[in-house]
Amino acid sequence: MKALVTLFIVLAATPVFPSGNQQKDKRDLVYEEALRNYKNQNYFTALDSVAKMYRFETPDQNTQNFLQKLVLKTGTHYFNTYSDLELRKINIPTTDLIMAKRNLYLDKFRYVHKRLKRVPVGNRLYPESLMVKASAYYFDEDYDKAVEYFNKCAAEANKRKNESENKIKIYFSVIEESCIIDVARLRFKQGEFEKAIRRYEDVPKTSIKWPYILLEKAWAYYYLGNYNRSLGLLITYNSPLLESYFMPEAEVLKALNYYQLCLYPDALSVVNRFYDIYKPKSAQLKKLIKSQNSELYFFDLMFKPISESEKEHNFLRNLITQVSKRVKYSLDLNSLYAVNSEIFQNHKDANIEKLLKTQKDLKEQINHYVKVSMHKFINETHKLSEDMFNLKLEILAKQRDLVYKQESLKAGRERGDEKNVERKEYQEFWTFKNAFWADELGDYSFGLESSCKVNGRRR
Amino acid sequence: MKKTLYFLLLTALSFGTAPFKASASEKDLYDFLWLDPDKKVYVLQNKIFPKTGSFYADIGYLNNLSGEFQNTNGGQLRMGYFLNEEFALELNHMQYGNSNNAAYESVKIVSGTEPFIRRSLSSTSLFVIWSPFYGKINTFNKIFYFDWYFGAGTGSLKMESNLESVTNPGQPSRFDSENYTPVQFKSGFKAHINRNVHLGVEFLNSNFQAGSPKSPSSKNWKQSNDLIFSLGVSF
Repeated sequence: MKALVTLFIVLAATPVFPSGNQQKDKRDLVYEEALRNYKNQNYFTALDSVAKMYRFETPDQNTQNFLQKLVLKTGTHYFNTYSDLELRKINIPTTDLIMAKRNLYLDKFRYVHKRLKRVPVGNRLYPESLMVKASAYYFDEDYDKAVEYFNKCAAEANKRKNESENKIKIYFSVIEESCIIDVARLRFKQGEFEKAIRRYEDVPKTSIKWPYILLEKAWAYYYLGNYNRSLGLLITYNSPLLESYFMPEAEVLKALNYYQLCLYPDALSVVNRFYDIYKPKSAQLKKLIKSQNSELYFFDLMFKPISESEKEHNFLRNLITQVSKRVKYSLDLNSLYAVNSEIFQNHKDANIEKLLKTQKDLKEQINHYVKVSMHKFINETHKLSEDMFNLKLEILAKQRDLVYKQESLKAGRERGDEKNVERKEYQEFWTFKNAFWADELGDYSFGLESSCKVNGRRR
Repeated sequence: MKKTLYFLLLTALSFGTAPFKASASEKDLYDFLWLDPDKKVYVLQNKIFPKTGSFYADIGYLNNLSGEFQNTNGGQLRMGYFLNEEFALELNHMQYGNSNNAAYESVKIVSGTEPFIRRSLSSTSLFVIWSPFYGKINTFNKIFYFDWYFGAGTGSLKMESNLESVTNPGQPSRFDSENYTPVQFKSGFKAHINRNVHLGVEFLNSNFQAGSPKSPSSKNWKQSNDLIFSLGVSF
């Protein structure tokens, strides 16, 4: 009985929940420890301790600023497992942006705008928040607003790019170019192909996105009926400088352009080349990929020496190069490098267990991304081969007596005339005389005459 | 074709930069088989420096090439507006400074008389500019763009000469001012440093009708040529 009374007194004296002061003391201790870790470059460890502390309550302004600083070093990967409720508690522009993106994918546009209102104009993430806002308008089919905000995003990113250096400069460049391309895509969707082309042209040739928009531009020219220009753009992919950017879709568009010009032997030549080169290679790649059992095969692939990956399959090298230049891959890789350097630093205060787990997560995430990219390529080739087959049938129906073989190339660049080249006032025109200028890459045009009219009738 | 022409002209003018094309070490890139060898390929490139609707202003240093007995140099100020990609209207003002050169001193010492001198004081003209050619050179691993233009114009040319005193040996040396309405032609290059700044070199030929010591009363066509180096802005 005495023992029970003593236990009751002890329990009564021990608070179940820490008092306000104790809580504050604990927060201060965690903050100070995190600050020490930050100074010792244990960024992930610092982020983990602070974020955990404020999982269910909003941190003060000072801690919010500190969290922002930490996220700059670690990336946003850490918050992937946080629920919306937890993210809302943290209450920093980074988590607002993450939530806005989540809502965007869920088509909850009202919440996207609500979250983005909280990103201040002065914040580094402001241009990106404008991009997400514009995307919300785009998916909500409010195209005028979408264009307005994409343009705002491009202008803001451009302004900040000119005031920044190194990695941040690259970040703003990517945001600016993404917003420009989104406007162009929107115009394309609306059937305003001229406007789309003019906007695509604002993306510099040095941009990592430029090789991809070349194909989109070629489609815009195709829909404008300027098949020679479309073919000229597509021929750029044959350049050794763009060897890695091989795109099966470009072959389909080439064939379509020749088809529209009624140059059936040329169209068939492209179709046959597709079946001779792309399709079998894609099938081989599929087989190779499916035969791999290693859990992190695709992750490891990205770090294999080129000579080795080339031996396995020559498409692999090109795909690896393509994937390695994508923004998502670069962001994840940067986070991984940051975790690795923290692990190798092996500081006594580092939360190694957490670091190893983050490292594993990131590796798996990269592995998954590469895997999806490669399968996407294979599936796309498969789908396009069906389109090519249908096109081949169309061509054969048009010209039944066509000989089923690839024509030998004539020497001397005989085919074409400049009268078939459509030139705008804002364009300079030069004939190509075996003088390669790198700045002219992607500015080519053929001058082929349409064979659609024979004796005044359409063939 | 245009590019080749520019290479030759620019080399001839000795801009101080040797034009050369990008290195041709990457065989694949330069055998051009990737550019569909059976078809003609044309280049349609957006102008990096479009001119339509743009204003420009240049300030320049000029050197007169016509005075035998004078060192003549000065300044130029010109402003223009491009109505479209090829044509512009330009207001041109030049102010000259003159001094006797070594030839003048030698003649004066040898013959004891002052030679005939006609020298420019100022010129203000309106030009129509035709700028049909556009070129580029690749040098120091950077591409520079040029415009090559021609101009024709007229206005007011203020000069002075000692015609009166040279034709009447009894009179002391005296320079009288003369006003002419010249017919002027010019041609020049503009090298674009960036979207707003350019460097220019220009040759300006002024033709006017004036008397000479041989026939002071009859007016014959005379010429005065200027070479001008300028720095300009456009927006």
